[in-house]
Amino acid sequence: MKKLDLARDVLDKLVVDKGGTKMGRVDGLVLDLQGGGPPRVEVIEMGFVVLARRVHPRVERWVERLRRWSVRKTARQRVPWAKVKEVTPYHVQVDLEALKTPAFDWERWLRDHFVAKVPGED
Amino acid sequence: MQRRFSRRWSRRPLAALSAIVVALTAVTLPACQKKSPEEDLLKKVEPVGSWLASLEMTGRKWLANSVPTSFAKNSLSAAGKAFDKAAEETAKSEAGPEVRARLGQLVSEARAAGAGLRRGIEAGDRGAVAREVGRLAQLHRRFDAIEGGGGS
Amino acid sequence: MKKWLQLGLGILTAVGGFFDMGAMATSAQAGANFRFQLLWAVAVATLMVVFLVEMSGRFAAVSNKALPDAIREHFGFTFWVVPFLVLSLSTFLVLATEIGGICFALHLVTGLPTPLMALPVAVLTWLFLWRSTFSTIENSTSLLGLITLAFVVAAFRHHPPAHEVLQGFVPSLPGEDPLKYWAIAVSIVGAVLSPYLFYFYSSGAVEDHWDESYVGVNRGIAAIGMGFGSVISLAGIVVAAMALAPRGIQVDDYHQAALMLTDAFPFWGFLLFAVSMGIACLGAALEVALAMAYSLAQTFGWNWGENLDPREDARFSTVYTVVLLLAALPILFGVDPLKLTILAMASEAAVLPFVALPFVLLMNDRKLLKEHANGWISNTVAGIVLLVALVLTAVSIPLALLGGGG
Repeated sequence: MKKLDLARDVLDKLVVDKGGTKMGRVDGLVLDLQGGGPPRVEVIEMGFVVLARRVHPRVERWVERLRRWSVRKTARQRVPWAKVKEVTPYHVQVDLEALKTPAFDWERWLRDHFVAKVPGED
Repeated sequence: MQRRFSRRWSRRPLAALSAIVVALTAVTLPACQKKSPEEDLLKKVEPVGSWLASLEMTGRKWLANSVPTSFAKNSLSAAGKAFDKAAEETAKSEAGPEVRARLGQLVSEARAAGAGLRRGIEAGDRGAVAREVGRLAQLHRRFDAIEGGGGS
Repeated sequence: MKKWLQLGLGILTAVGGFFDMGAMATSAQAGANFRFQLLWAVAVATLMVVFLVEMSGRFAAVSNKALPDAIREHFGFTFWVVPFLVLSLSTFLVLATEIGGICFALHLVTGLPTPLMALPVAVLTWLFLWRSTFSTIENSTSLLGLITLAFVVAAFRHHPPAHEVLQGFVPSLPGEDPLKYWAIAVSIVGAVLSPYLFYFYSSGAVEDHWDESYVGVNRGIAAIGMGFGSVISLAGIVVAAMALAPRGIQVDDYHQAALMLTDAFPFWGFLLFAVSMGIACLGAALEVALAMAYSLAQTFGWNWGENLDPREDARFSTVYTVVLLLAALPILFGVDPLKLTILAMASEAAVLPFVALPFVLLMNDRKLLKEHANGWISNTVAGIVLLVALVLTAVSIPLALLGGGG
């Protein structure tokens, strides 16, 4: 099988859903160390909190506090590696529907509460 | 090996940068401090000359129907603020009394000319506007003489 | 042939990013204070910006990625977060300035106070962005932007002394007031090398579906588009040198610059100035607002695109909405447009290395760009830009304070 450099080829790459809709970036990667065998990629993580933790634990706490006002339900969206369809130079495609994931909570909320209310936008 | 190399390079721009900053401060700070109060005042009131020239041009252009009345009036307001600031600077400056008196006199005449120009423009009195334009030109020459003569 | 229709992107980038509020102020100040002596600064800045814009277009055409997108992907979020925040702040200041420019242009025409215009201008600019597609913006702005050619016509009408103009292209030391001279020179370069320009141009290339076959056309578009902006900036200096300098008018306020064209066009000059300023700043405001939305959306992997209906990229559309409204606040609260311009330009010059360094590294990535990676000519220019950028960062803020305030 081909080799994949996690930091170079996967981390920070654009994530698209099965229809090709942009749904975020690979903000974090979690390895599974159980079972005694070599580490295995368990999930890719997406969300502001994941990013904040990469910067500094304190920034993570700030973002956690800000989440009180967030419409997004889950802070960390975890996508099992099994859902990853392919990794190309352009994106990581996952077998999900973006609109139905927490990644689109804000998108949906803004569309219903702001965009839809702009006159002439119906 | 590679590490030493990259470290050396990452330090150099910083060193160069700080050298530039230090050199710049070393050059500019004394230059600012060494100025005599007269030079300092003349520098601060410099915009007055430029505004006198602008008002003169605005007046002429108004007479030639090149600029609208509202623009001329707004220009006069902006100039008025610059004149007020110059008057303030002159009053609080530590420059010699002679320079201050000449500048103070000139600024108050500039304000008067500005007010005259505004009245002329508002009344549509072309004769008055032409007169004030001449006065502004003369004030500008006087101002240049003060600036050129230097306070020292 | 059809590819050359993309020239609109170059002109829009130039109208918005090159000849905007900042360039108007610096050109007028340079000409009024130092006549033709600072023409070289525009020429140098043009050369650098042509190369950088060409690179960002080539990058987008070959990799199909816009710059913020690629920088986050290749350098990682922890690298990108600081430049991203600093840049956003600086770009926000520029947006506030451009809105100030539109407001001031309207103030010139109507005589009403500038702050009064802030909210209506922000809302109308937003409405335009909301309603139009990328190509509408591209074509209308680049077409309307042609009005700024009035400056070029005016420059010729003044019959400037040719040998003095030519001498201005050779860098020389000022006779007096060196601080002011260098402060203006730095702000000319800062005003031209706006960091958001490259983000915008590369995102625009992605919006317009450029592919590898555009590499050659891109070269021409970058040169012609930026050349267009440059010629107008140069003309601005010449006009100010002929109309303002002999009278002893310096530009301490935009009202003084507004008289610039009235010698060359006694009747239309005033209106031409106001309209040029309004359109240039409108183009810039559209460009800057989009650039902010692009870089935010690309950083976080949201759906983005001015060609999409706002319903399909609600976050992207919300960003430019919020940003436009916030950027109207400084003018609404009566901040002086010229002071805002000077601050914005100094901040642009200061953040340039943050943009230039990762950009140049990416341009040399052969895995990404294959045979289209930078050659030695582009790399030499890029190296010079980096050096200049570092010096600018060190001197821009102190010079703006000293040269501006005395």
